[in-house]
Amino acid sequence: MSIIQKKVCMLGAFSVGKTSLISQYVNSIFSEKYTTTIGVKIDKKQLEIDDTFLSMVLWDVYGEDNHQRVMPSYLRGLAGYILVADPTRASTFSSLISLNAMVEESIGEMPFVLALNKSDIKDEWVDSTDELNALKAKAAGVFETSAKMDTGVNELFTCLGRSLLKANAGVGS
Amino acid sequence: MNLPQVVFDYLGAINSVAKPNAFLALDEQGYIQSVGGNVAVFDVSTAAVGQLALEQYAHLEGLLTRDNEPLIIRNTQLKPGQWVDLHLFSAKELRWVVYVDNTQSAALLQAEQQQRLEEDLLVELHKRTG
Repeated sequence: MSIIQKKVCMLGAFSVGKTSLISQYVNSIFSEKYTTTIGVKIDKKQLEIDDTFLSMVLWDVYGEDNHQRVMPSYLRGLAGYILVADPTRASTFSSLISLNAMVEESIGEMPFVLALNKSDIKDEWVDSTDELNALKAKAAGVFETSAKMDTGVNELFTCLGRSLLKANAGVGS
Repeated sequence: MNLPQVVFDYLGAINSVAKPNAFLALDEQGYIQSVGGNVAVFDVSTAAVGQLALEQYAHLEGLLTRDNEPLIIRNTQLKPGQWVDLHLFSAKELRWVVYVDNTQSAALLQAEQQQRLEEDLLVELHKRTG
């Protein structure tokens, strides 16, 4: 059986949990310790959706902060992406808006899903913004996730996987 | 390790003093035409001439475009604790992928960045909690 392979980027501000989400999804591991990502860490996960095998090549791209923006070279060849916010920090919302704009400018419109991470401390979440609400409306799916509790993680990646396969079928038809 | 002159010509053209550790040369369809150095140091796979590169090296997914533009992906972590700069360029009717070990400087950068971002998080926390 053939396998469809696609590149997926995880994008967001620093310390929103991009690495933790991948670690939970790929290795079923969560660490409380925050370890910053340098450059990009590449992992792979194969999933089966409706009798089709999809191999996701997951690019865990370093988080944006006051000193560094994501370089467009990391986005080359992506088929879809996951935007990750930490709703306990409103500053991470504006990062998503600019990152999404950068993807659309440099690559074009691609399937993406939105992860509102750290749902295990939802009582600390701040209110969404108009800009974030607009982004939610464009996403293929919006998920409240907790890498720590393994909540919503599988659903997040599976939703993007479905969108990738749908886009792939559209290209082939 | 002997590497083709074309690799050194490319690195010279971009004013890089980096020492390449391994390379792949691919044809238009992405099949490995030649391989040198130890790519397995950076990945779990081993390369062999005639194999489809994307089947062995998932990290190349999306990067083997036909626009022939050089591409550099800095600080790529293919194994825990090991970083490599990936260089892709076209020459002699082949697409070349060159691996340059960058672990030492990336590890230093990580230590600096870790400290800076932990401080930033503390500042954010203080702002939120007053």
